[in-house]
Amino acid sequence: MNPFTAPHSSAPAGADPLGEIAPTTAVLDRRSLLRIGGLSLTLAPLIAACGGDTLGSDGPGRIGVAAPAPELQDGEVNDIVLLRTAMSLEYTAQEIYAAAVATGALTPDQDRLLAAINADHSEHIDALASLISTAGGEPFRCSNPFLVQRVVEPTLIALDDSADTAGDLMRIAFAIETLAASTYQMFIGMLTDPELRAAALQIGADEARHSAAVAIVAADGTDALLSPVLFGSELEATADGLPVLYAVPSRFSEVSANELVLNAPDPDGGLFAVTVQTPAENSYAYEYMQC
Amino acid sequence: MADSDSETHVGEPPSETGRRSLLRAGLGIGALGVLFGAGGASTALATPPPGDPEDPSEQLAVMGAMLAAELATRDLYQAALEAGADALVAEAMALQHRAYADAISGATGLSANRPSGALFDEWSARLVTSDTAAMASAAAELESSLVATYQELVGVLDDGNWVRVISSIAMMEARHGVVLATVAGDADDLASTLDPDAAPLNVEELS
Repeated sequence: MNPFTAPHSSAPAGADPLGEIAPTTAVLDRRSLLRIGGLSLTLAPLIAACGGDTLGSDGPGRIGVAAPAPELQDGEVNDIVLLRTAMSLEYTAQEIYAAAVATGALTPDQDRLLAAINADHSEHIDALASLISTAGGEPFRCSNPFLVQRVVEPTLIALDDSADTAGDLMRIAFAIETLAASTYQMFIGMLTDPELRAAALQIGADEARHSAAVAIVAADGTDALLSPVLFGSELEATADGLPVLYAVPSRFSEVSANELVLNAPDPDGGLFAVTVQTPAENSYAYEYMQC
Repeated sequence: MADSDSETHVGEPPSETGRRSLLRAGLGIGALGVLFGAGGASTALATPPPGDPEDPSEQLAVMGAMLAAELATRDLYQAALEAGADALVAEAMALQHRAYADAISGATGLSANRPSGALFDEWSARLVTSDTAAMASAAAELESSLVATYQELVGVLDDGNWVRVISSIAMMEARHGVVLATVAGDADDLASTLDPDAAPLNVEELS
């Protein structure tokens, strides 16, 4: 006797255990199954419509028993959000420059320039905080989380292996100041309050001047003043394959993304590069966000 | 660099319209009373001088004035080039401002053929010279004044495309100022280079 079936079996010893269900099996022949299947398909929408929650969630299934994912809040993009985002860029720049100074790699001219730029950023932060408060918002007093995660942190890690730390710090500063100028320029076209546009252009022009000054100090001469593209020539890279920084890089100021390239290796043996983009929906400092 | 504003700029803006004072105020709009103030000489444009900043025809007149300013600035660099100033810098700047005039012309439909004689006359004594450093020093001031003027205009213009065009121009002219300060040998003064205290041009007198 099978020790695993005997305790649960009600069939007398020696009887065929399948004998009792054999007649039922005979009823469920191929035609019956098809009829039942068709009936099920016909009734399923009706049952679903009438059954309320009785069928459970119809959302995509999840693996395991983890807590439900939090729902993302809807963020309205308004003037306050744009100003908060601009403020987050100012703090991001200050965070980077603090790290740059801490390396001790900057030349005296570079150090002096970044100190002056940092002072401007503090002034911008105060002005933005005032504008945000006047508009009825809460100033955003911290770095931009998206930018920090996607650009700042990997860049500072790559800097550890830099072949030219001071030069790379200036390339980072150029990228950040260019990003800031492009961001304000983009926001001027988005702000609904005309008075805020004027303030944004004022600060954005400062950032553009920063970017130009960084290019000049990085080159330690006047070779970096005017891009060859202004005269219809092609851009050339340095002997190391790095882009040359120009104080006047183009005819018009642009809001497109820039590529930051460092004289540091990436995992694939090339040069470390990261795309620095102007803020968008995934990187705005929405009003519901806290530092 | 900053102390010559009252002597050289077209018009005479009040001292409280400086960049820092505007930034402290949190707005760049304080000087609009000057820009759109009553009175002033008639312009060469079809429309009268700006009085109501919300009037579309007067906004077009303002854009026309900036078109005339860009053409005059181009002419100043061209004249400096012909006078013997550094060819690379003067030529590049002339090309830049020609492009800005074309951009404003394209955005507004106004003809790019009437440079501002008032602006040219006001700046030519200092800017049209073979002395590259002197030319660059004056030009840096002019570029900063253009930026300050655009800054005020974005606060009153309704047309989104016009706002985007002049924003792009102003951002690049801010860079011009740094380059020219460097050529002039003034860039060691970081405060003046990064935060030029330039007054806006008087738009009423540009056309």
